[in-house]
Amino acid sequence: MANNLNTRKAKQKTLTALKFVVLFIYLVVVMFPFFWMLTTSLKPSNEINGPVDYIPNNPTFENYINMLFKGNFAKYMLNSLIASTFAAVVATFCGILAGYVISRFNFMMKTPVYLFFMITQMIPSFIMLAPLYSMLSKAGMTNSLWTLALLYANMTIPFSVVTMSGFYAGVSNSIEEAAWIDGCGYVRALFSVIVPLLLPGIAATAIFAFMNSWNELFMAVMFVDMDKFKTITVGLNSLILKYNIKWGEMAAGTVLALVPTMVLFAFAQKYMIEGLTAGSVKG
Amino acid sequence: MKKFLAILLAIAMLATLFAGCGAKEEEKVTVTMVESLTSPERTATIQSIIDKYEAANPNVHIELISPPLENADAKISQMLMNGEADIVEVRDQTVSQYVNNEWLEDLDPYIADWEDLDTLSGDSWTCMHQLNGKCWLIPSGFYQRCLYYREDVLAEAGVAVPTTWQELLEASQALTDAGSNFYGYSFRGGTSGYQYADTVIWSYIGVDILADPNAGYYLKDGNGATIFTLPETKEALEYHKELFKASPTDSVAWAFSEMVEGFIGGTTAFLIQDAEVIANCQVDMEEGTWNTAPFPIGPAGEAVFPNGFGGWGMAAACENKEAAADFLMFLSNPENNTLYAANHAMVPIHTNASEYSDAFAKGYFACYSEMAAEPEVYRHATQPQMYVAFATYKTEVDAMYQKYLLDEITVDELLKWLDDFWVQAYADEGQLW
Amino acid sequence: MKSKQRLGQRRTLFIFLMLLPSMLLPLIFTYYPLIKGGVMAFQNYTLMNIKNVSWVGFQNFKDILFNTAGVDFGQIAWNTVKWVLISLTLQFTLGFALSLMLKKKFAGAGVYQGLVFFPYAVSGFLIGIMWRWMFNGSNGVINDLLMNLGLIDVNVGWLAQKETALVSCVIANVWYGIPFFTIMITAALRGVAPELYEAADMDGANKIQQFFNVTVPSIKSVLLMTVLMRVIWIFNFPDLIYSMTSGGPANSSQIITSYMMTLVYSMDYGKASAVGLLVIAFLAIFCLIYMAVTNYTSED
Repeated sequence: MANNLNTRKAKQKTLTALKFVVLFIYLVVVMFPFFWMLTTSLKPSNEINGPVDYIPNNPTFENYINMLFKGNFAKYMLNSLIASTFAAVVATFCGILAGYVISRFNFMMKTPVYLFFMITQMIPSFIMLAPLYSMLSKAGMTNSLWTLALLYANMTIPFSVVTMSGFYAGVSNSIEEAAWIDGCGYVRALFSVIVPLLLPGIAATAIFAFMNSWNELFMAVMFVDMDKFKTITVGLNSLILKYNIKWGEMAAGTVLALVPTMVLFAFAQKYMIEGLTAGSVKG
Repeated sequence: MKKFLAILLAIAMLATLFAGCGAKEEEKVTVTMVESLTSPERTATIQSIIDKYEAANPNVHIELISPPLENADAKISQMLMNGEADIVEVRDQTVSQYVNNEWLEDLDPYIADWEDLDTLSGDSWTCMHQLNGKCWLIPSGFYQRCLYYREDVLAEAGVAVPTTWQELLEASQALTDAGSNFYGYSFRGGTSGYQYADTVIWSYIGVDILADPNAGYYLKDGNGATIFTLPETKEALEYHKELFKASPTDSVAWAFSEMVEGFIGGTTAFLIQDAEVIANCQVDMEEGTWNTAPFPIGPAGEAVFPNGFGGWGMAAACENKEAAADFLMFLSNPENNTLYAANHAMVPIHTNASEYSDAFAKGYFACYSEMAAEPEVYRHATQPQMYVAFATYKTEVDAMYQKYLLDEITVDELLKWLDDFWVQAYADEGQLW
Repeated sequence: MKSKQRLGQRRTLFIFLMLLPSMLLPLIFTYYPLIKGGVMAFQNYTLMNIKNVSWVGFQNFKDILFNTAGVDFGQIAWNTVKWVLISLTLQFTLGFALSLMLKKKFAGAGVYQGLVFFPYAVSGFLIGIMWRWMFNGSNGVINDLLMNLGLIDVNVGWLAQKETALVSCVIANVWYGIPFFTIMITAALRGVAPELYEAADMDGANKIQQFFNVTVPSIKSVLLMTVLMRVIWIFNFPDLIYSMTSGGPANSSQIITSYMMTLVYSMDYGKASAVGLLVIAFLAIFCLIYMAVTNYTSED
């Protein structure tokens, strides 16, 4: 018996070790392109196009300095941050509401409503470009950060609704039914009983809504003209020139643009782990 | 409640205050100008000219809009369609589109009294009036191609600088050493690779045989017959493939940046590109390792390439046409245009440019003076871009050339496809040159 | 009886009010322009000449489906199937596996999760040019790496060969898409009550049985949702292909939506719209079948 337990423990240990080896290899593979960007960002331009060098021979911060001080990089970052945060908050909130009824209530129009959201995801954005432009132009809405924020909210809402409805389905019905019996209204039951259980899912939804907006390029190019409203993707896209790509600055910009993601993740992490304990309340 | 009313009143007062400001602002004329071939350096040059103009004309504000290069033309189309732009950059690729759609204003009436009209070069004048005899743009300069070569590599291998396409091929073959990852030529097989095949074809058949230099696929008096039936064209395409074999194998997918990076990064010995690349080479390559030479000459005794251009046009929907035109003339005067052309390695539009800058005759630009001295050898032709079918052509032709280069179809099949396409275009749209 | 009816009305009103905020923006900014843009599919609408737009019926659709001159639609459709299926399978399997490994907390798990999320934090066009550069056949870092590892002895033109172009794009896409599954599934796994596993343990179920009897059923809805979402997104993700290969060489990596992008850049909005409608129709049918087969919207 004790022997058996020992072998089981040993087996467990090997498995854990194996797990960490796999995780490590995966990390190396996934991070390699970023390592390459980082190396590139520290190279002077004449080293970039030459033979492959994994460590810069003459490391320089020139590219970072160019990005940060010569251009409007900080302004672009701020614009991206504003538009994406707005979109993520609005979309997640809408997702919490609509996802709830879609997953919990049976109503006649359920499938059509679900399709309504799914179809928006199927539309290649180019098909709407011309009509959307003339619509915004007539409304005098081009050239504003709020238009962009609104468009990003529009872009991420359907995804949030669908995602949230998926997360609701993982939580047992009995919980809010108990709350209803206790006399809670629908809305109170939702926010005081269910939402706390779903924090990991909500955090994940918000992260993706934010990232999808953060990475959006086409609408930002088409609907915003002035430099002061440009987003980070537009700024990076501008580094693709006719004859060459400013790799050094682009790599530096890519590395810098990861910083908000890191912060966001550190922040969201708390909720994603809290969810672990919150989940145990469920039973 | 009283407090609330007070706040409301305050807001209303503030609003009128701002409205007053707004009215005052409106006396200032704003002209929106959109560039297409955006690069940070170029934007800075244009902005410096704008600053000069605004200092002299305090009641005019020029708002320069610089969309990223990749999506700029799509954006300009939308802006023109919705009347949101006053001055736009018009390029060889877009001019017929803008004119067909009646998005541009005829500039002739506005520039009739322009003091610098006399010094405009012949090329500039032709370029301005290339469609329907009206003036659709003022060019900002011309992009002309030359041959870039690795001076050190050629010297070491004892290879002379090629002057003809045949010599270029032989030199490329001699220098190619796949084992050490070095190749002769920076081939362009990716997006717009057909343009390179076209320059070879024209250099094989000569310009005089063409119906019009701006309709470079049709034969003179051919009633819609194309150049793709000529035996010389077939030879040219066979040559094109040979040149590809003396280039990196993945150059079948190379676009602008790869071909330039291939040359600058030390993978290839030859590159054919616009003069703008000189600046890149100067930054990233050592003096003495590279140089420029005139465009290679074909069996027809001619070296033919498109006289690419960029320029500025005025939107038909522009609200302050006088102001916009006045700025355009300032932007295009010999001093400013020469500054712009010198900064961005273009051929300036005024004949007296040398009075303002000596950048054009020396150093790496010397090959351009050599070419300019022999206009009967170095000639220009371009694809029939005035055809609506040209848009479709662009989406399909690169894949056809790639199939040919990868031995999926024969040269005759490629020629047949090209011939069929343009015979059909002529049948559909008639003679447009 | 009456109060029950009132309750029913209240319930309907509640459902309506909960859905309203989410439907408002898409109605204005998605469906309205979609209808206006969709109309162009039945016109010879090209920005090369908008003065001459007329109705052409289904001509654009016919041109796309049967015009085999330069662009073979069958080939593009097949490429699209490969692109979606291979990308999805790899993203899902690897993403799921990773989240299972991340389920149990360990020191540094948070940092690890943050790092492997990075690929999703890069914009589509950037991923494209980044990988295009790394896959470059002459001085690309991937060739150099494989050469150092002794896996190849001559440079490979990854994006220039018909056999490898699409695969290279798929690799970039997998790299980009794994975090989506990892984060979503990890979030779902953390919501599974530990008591369920304890109960299964007591019943003597081994890890594999627990996986199939506890884990999968508990997160089924999230799995189904993420897969459906991802199919649609991968289908509609031409950015990467467009900037890596432009669909080449010789259309060997062209998918339907990257072909649409080519049409848009050549100003042929009529044909582009037609392709767009085909895409929507195909995906909508797929979505309905998927929902029916998986019993998707029903409660369980």
